[in-house]
Amino acid sequence: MIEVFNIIYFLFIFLLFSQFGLLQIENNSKIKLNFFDINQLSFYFLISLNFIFLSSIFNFDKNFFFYFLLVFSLFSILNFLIKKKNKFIISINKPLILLFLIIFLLLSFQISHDLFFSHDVRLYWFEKVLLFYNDMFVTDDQTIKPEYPHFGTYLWSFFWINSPLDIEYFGRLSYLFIYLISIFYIFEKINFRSIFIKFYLILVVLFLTFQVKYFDGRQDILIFAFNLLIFGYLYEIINCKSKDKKNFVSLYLLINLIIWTKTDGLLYILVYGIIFAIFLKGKSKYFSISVLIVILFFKLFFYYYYNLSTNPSKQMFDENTLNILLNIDFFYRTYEIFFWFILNIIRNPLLLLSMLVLIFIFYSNKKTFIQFSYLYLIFVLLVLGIYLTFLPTKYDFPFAMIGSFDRVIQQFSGIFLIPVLKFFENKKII
Amino acid sequence: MKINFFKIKKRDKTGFFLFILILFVFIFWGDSPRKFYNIMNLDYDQRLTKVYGYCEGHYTGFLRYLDKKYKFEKKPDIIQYVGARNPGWIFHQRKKKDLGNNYKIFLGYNNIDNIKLSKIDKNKFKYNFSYAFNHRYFKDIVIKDKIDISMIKRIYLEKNGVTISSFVPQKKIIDINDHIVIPVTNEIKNILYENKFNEQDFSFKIDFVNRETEIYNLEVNFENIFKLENMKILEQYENCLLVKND
Repeated sequence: MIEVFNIIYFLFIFLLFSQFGLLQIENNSKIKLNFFDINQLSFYFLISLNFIFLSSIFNFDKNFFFYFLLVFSLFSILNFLIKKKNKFIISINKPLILLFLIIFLLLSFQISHDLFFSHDVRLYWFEKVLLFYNDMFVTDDQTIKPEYPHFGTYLWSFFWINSPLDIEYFGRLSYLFIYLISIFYIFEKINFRSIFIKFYLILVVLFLTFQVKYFDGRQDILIFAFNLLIFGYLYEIINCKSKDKKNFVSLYLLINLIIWTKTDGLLYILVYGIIFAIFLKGKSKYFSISVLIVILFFKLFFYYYYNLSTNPSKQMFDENTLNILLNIDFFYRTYEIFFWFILNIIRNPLLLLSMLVLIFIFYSNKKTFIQFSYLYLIFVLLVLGIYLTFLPTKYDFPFAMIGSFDRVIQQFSGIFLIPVLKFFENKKII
Repeated sequence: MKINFFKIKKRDKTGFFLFILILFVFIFWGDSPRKFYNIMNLDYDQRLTKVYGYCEGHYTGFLRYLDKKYKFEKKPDIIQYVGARNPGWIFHQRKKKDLGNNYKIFLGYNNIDNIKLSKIDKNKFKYNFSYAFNHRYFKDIVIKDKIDISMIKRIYLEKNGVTISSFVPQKKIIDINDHIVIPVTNEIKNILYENKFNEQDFSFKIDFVNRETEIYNLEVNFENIFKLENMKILEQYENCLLVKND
């Protein structure tokens, strides 16, 4: 019973942390305070996550920082409610928040029940969590993967340490919250004829993307959620031509989190940099590219300063990678990579279904199809990046792909969700 | 999209009931009711043991029991004979790296000290890797057939048909059962010890002075590196043990 109360407590904490910064940034008397406006919620939760990331960089005390965020978030909300209540319309999206709460609770029961850790989690991800759980720093990392980024594991330990019951899985509930926020955020971009259609489709996407094993501590579900949010913000900026600075800031915050979550983040920052260069216009283009360069250099500086390896994966690459590239059986490897890529697309129901619908859209409505050309470019660049990553690997080939390709595909499997939903919206099907 | 949740039935009865139906499917799809029941009735340790086993598989139940009882300040040394890798994640203390470790935990401990090798060719016998033989050395080769002891010329250890070590037996003992016992070299001892990382199969081949000589029964004696008689057993559940070095 007490564990269930603890789950509810954390749900409350996450919702509270998603109000963090409300006081400072929303200094506009015309703004409506909606307690479950998913746009606001995702934005402020991203700010909280980036503050937690900063605390990992500066090695702040986790208990102190947790209570700092808590008090600040509470103060932000109280300030709205007490001082400015006449200027604000307070509304609560009851059906949506109810659905969110129900889903969060149901899925958190699954996570708290199925406690199995996969091989990689037992071998290094959880060991990294224990590093932070024991108040150590990245320089104390003696796991077999010290070069792997630490944000996801730090986040896990951050909420675990601050859990009243001192049980590890409470830290992993933050992954679930981020995952749900990302899915709900995408559905906010679509105008549904009925709220129930929206609810069905949210459940359908959960059916397609949720498996309890994804939340055992592997970082790919975080990358999936961050990418989904990025696709949403890119839609706002590129398709809706939004000039709202929040969308740009959210993009930068998300890209920052991605490169500190998994080494795959380096590929994403490169791909998003190319997208910014091609699809953004004027000042925002140069500013966004500059921000990405700063984010990348900050990470490199941090790794050099603390003498951490900048090799994304010592298991896959070393100084002989160029030699390997010259000596490999190019056609055999290309064939294997292509085979495993196709196989894992078929095994990913969300990506497979959305690609099939996309083919249909291409033949039936080219206008809608072309609107999302930046997503196709992202997809092509990511596939090319994956190919170039696996091609020179020194790790056992093709075993290197058998165990990890499905997770790599999963990371960006939500890429075509918005075009598909938009197509149905335009056709008044949903 | 603002609607009054309590007026939904009037506005869109079909939609509402369909949604409830899908929600129910969603609830039962993840087996949530049973899991909720288990969370309410089983504590975290009981659920962990249910998934990982007590003294089998991942040994989590036994390790959690020890951790709670002894409150280790440092992850104890874990000597695992069989089971899933890296069961030590269950110990969460990592701070005191320099602290001496007096405790050892044996998981899947066994006293297998002799195995019969299968004959694969004339005077050639196969040793199949097993995790159960971890943490021990080869000690002796035992020939159970009645042959002239002076006929043994050389013994080869092969991997994938390639000789990786060989020796001329310096010492041959006939034991009380009339079996020929030949101690192996230190090199061969180390090969088996290292094999717990390599997980390879080997074969033994014996050359005789007289080429006509053939044997049919070959065994290997092992020597367990960790001898329990030198240690104080603090806890034991089946083949899971906590010991303290004397």
